Amino acid sequence: MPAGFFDSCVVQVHPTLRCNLSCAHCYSSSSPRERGELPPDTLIRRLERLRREGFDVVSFSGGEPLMYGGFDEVAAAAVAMGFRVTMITNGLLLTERRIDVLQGVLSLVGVSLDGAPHRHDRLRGVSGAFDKLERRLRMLRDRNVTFGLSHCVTRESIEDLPWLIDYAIEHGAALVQMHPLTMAGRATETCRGLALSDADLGRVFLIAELQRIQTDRQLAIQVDIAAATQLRAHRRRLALLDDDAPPSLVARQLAEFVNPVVMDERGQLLPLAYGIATEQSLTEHPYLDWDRALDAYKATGASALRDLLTDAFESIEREAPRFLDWYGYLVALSRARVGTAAPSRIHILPALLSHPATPT
Amino acid sequence: MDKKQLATALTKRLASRKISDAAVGELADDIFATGHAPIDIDVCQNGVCVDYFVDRTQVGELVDKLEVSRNLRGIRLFPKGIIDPDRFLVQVERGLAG
Repeated sequence: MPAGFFDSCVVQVHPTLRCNLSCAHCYSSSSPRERGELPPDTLIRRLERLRREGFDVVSFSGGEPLMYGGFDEVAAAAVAMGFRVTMITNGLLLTERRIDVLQGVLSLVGVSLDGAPHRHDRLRGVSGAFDKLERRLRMLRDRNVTFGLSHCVTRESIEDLPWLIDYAIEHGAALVQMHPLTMAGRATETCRGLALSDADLGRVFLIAELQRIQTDRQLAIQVDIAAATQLRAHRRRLALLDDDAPPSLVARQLAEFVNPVVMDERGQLLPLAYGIATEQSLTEHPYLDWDRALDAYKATGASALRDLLTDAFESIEREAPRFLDWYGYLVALSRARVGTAAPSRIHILPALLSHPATPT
Repeated sequence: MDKKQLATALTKRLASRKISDAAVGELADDIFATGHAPIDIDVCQNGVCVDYFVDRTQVGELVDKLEVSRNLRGIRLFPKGIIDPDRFLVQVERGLAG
C-alpha cells in the first residue's frame, strides 16, 4: 500500500522552469527567460532508481513540460520502465503532431484552466489564451486522449466553479482538479488578496463534495483541500508515524514511507511537495552523490520527515482549522521551522490519479 | 426540483457567496465533523441527508459524534446484510442552516 494519501506512488518531476507564459499566479515564477533544465540522461537514471524504490507514476510539470528538451525521450523511457506517465500543461504547445507522438505514452494530460474566459486570459497575461486552449481541448477529445482540467482556485474564481464543472462535462474532460492558490513565486507580487480564506476553503470543499457526488461519476472531482477531521482519521495511512515504523528504511522501498516525492529542476529529491524546505531534501548532501545520499537518507529512517509530520499534526490540534491545504501546510511549516521565506505553491496533479480516468 | 437540481442550486449559492461564511462552517461541521467521508450527500427542500458506510465497530462512535452536532433530524442504520454483515449504511438527516 502506498504511503500517504495517494492511491499511487508518485514522482513529480519539474525538469525545467522554462515556460512559454508568465502567469500571474505561477508558484515557481516560471517564464520564457528561464534556461536551466535537468539533463535527460540524469533524469532517466534517477527514475530507474525510483522505480526500484516502488514508485509507479511519473507526473511532469514545470515550467511547461512541453518546453523541456528531453520530454519525449524521458517520458518514453519512463513508460518502458513500467511507470504510468502524466503531465500538466498550459496546453498551448499541443499540436496534432505532438498529441499523436504522446498519445501512447501519457495516461493523462492535465490542462490548466483558470476560470471563465476573461479571468483565464487575465491570469495568463495573454489575450485570446482561452480560445486557443479550447481548440487544444477539442484536439485532445477528437483523439480520445484522456484529459483533465486543473484549476487554481482564487478568491475571485470561486464564482466560476459551477461554470467550470459544466464546461468540463461539455468538453469531455475526465476530471477536474481544484487547487487553492498559495501565495508564492510570482503570485506574491501579482495576486495579493486572491488567496482563499478559511471559510473559502470550506466553500470550495463543499462545492467539490456536492459535485463529486452529483455528477454521477461522469466526471471525477479532485479537491486539494482536506477536512481536518478526515485528516486526523486517516493519519494511520502515514506509515512513518506508525509506532512500528522501522528505524532504518534501507531494507524497504522508499515509496512505502515517503509518497509523493518531487524532483525539482536541479535534480534534488524532496518529500511530498514542491517548495518544501531544502532541509527536508532526500538527496542534498555535502559529499555523497545522489544515489548514495538517498541511501544515507533511508538509513536515517526519514527522521526529519517524521518530525515534520508529527509537528504538523500537533499544530493542527492547536490551531484546529476546519479545512486545510495539507501539502501547502507542510511546506509552510517546514519553512517556518528553519526560518525561511514564504511557502511555494504545491503541485499535486498526481492526486488526480486517485481517480482512474475514464474517457467519456 | 429533483435532487440534482437542488444540489446544483446549493452549489451556485455557495459559489456566489449567497450562503454566509458562518453557515458554510456549520454545514461543513454537520457533514464532516465525524471524520468519516460521506458516500452520498442528498439535498432536499428541508435539508441535507448524508450517507456514510462504516464498520460495525465504528457505528457507536459515529452516532455519538452525530448526537452532539447541530440541526440533526434523524439517523437511520441499515446493516449491509449477508454480503458484508459487519458494514453499516448510516443515513443522517439534517436541517439546513440559512
